[in-house]
Amino acid sequence: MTNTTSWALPALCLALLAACADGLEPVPFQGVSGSVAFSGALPDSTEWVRVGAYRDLPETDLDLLGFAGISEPLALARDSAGYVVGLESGVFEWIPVVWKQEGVALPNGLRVLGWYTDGGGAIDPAELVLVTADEENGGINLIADFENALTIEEALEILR
Amino acid sequence: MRRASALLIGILGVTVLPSPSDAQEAGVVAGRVIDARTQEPVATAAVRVVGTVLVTFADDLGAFELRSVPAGTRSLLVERFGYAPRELEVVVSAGGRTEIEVELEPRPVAVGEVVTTVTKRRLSTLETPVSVSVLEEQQIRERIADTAADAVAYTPSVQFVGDQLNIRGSSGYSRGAGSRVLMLVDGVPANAGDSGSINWDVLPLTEIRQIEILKGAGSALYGTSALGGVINVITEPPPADPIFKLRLRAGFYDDPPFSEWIWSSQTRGYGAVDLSYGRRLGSVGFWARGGRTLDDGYVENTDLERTNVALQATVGEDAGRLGIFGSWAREEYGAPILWCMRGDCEDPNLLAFQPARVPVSARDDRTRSDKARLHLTYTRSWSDRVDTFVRGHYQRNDWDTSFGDGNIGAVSDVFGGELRFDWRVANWFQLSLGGEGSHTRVEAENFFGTPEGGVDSLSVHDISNLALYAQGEFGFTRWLMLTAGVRQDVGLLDGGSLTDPWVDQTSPRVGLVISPVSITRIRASVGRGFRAPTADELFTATQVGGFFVVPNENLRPEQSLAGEVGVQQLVTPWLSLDLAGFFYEFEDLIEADTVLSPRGIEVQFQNLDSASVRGVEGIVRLSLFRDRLQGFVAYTYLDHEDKTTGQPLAYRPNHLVTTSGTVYLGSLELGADYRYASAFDRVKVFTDPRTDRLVPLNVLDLRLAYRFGRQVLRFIADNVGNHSYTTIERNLEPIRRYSLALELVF
Repeated sequence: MTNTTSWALPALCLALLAACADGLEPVPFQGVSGSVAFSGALPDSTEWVRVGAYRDLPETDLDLLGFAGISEPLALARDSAGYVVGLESGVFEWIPVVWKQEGVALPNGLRVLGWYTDGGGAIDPAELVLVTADEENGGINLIADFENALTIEEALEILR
Repeated sequence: MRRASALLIGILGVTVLPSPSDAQEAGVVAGRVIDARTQEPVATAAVRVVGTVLVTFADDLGAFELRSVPAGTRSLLVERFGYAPRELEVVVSAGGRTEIEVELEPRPVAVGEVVTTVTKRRLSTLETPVSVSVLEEQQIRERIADTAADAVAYTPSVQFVGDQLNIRGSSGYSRGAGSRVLMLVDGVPANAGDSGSINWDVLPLTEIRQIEILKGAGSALYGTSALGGVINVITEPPPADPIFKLRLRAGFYDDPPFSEWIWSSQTRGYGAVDLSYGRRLGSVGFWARGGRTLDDGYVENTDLERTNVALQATVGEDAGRLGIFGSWAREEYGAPILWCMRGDCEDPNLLAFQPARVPVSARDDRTRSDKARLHLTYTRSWSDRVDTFVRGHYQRNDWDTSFGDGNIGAVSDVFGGELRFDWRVANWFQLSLGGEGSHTRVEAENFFGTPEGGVDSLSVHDISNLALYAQGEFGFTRWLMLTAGVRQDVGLLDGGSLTDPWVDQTSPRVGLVISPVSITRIRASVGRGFRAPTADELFTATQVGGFFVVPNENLRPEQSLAGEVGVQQLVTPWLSLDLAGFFYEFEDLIEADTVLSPRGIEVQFQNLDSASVRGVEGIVRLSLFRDRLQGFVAYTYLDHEDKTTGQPLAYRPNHLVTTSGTVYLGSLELGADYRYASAFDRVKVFTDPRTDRLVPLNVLDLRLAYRFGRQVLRFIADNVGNHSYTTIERNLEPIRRYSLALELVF
């Protein structure tokens, strides 16, 4: 018995130590969050509405698909909805609300409903957003105006 | 088809050759095998006439009888799991009967379990040209297992990825759609008809005699689904005397390892009861079994209710025996697909993910699953040279899942049958010839696609399969056993014709076992395998939990060339080694391809042109301190590659370690099991290194058992380190759990 325990116990302790190592750990959220206030009537042809984040302003329709991060589809049943977008740290030039028309292929079916602005309106000049490591930049609130859905060209014209 | 026919005819041709052995006069060798220490009978010991295919197995009283043994001085090799093999000489007189008693010395590190999976006939694992692991009833019970899967997870070179079984890296993960491992219950197929997944809950855990795990392609005998291996669950035959067994299990889950992850103030527990009653009335024996499990689950909305019943009966004796097995199981459980990410549920800690919670939208997602099966087998010995085996089976899987956006579900019915002849043509040649057929009908609700690209509210598909196979075992010399077999499969999808079948696969396999001395076995095998895509892989078109599954009706069957070389060596009475090198070369491997798009996560099953898995496996078995400490250490190295892209295959580790040890102190048993799997190199869906870090599996379990008479009280702590890990993205694997079990036998 003595021999057995002298051999088995150290082995067990080693295994126990190994079994605690290198597991998943809590990770703070890093990115932006806020709410989207809806304005105007929700079109019947809505497939989804999401918030995206772009490091630079897009130049074409296709660039709309080159987001750095995008939210899950927003809940559209109420006047406003919360959102989060997980992002790497850095500066983001444009945080828009994007609407997708049902049955129309990407990127043609995409429209911009508003973006994060310094003035608080749906399409005022865009405000830069900074994301730092291990932190959530909250309060990035936006307005989505269904009555004024813009193509990417129209949005870029306003932004420039 | 022509190649297979030629091979079949070739093998048949050999059988009509005159056999020199048959011309000799023959006699009978009979006797008993007993334990040298206790003098108790040793059941299922294999007794082989060296240099021939003549073999028999001792019954429960240790008795055996070998007929048609060529007259003269013959060597007998007697082997049994846990005993040192013994070779002895006997003198056989023409027309006479030689009685012997064989004493076997216990050697806990020795292998040599009797298995039926490799050749469909009883065979010692020392005589198999492929690697086979065997879990005996004791090992299943000591795990306090919920299903057979909980015990199989502790087999060398085996890993579960989610609920999907991966043997030697052959499988990745595809959410149950398409298993590369075929499950058998007493040799009868038991995979689901629609997904091809393994029905682990199809039978209660009581009265499982052993689980055989064949590693490597088994298609030469079993056809589709056996591409990566075969699991054969062997049930315990009905007892001679009436017996009633009661098994009670209960336990609770600990909190997650970090306070920020605690999601419930209530203790999460589980409880289960299994009952069985067996007896024999004349030539009829039966088991009646039932079980019920209630489990709160360790993650939000993963509670489970399971009920299963089974009835097993045998009619007749060894010369002609009918076996009947019927079972039904129902499970109802929460079915969230992913854990909660920031924003999906309320989280005051503002964490990137909450692994024990699920999104608010998935809190009410539920699945109901009913599984029923009935199989009949009939074995008949026409003489000491010719046996026949006939089986028929029916299996139904019926499930539906309700989630936020609606309901999906499917019903699959599988009818199958097999006829096989085992013929000892000569003392050096055993032949098995068989045919097998099955028909599967799948009716899916809101789950399969339409040709126009939509989702069909009710869709029906039929898959049929016909196969012929032949296998020969050759015992030319005392040190060489050779096996060669081939199987031809023809599959039809939604009708079709035999002249232009959907599946047309020939699967040959050859293997050899070299025994230079009785404590050394060298094995080698190479063979082709295949798997036809399942209905779920072909037709699924659904949207669940942010995943959009796109059907691919152009999927082709996947194929493999697989082989291994291995050696088993009993080094000392307390140490044995098993080393193997193996490979799979895949063509058209079916893997789930995923694309992250603004629409969500699009999933489609696609054929990879070329992929490979190569590896080595080493198992060391030890028995120390006068057999008071017994255990094994197993290591597997896997090198895997998608040859088109040069990337590692997804959801496969590079290193696997499995160890198990038990200390026996009179009535007390103390045990520990440890599993390690290195982090995957690659997964398919979520790859953000910050929120989806890949971590190794690193789990230690501790066991304690106390025996009092025939009763046993067990305690087990699973995952005592409370290691947090995933095998599929955003799904937390089981956290620390404490369990008690009481096994009563009356």
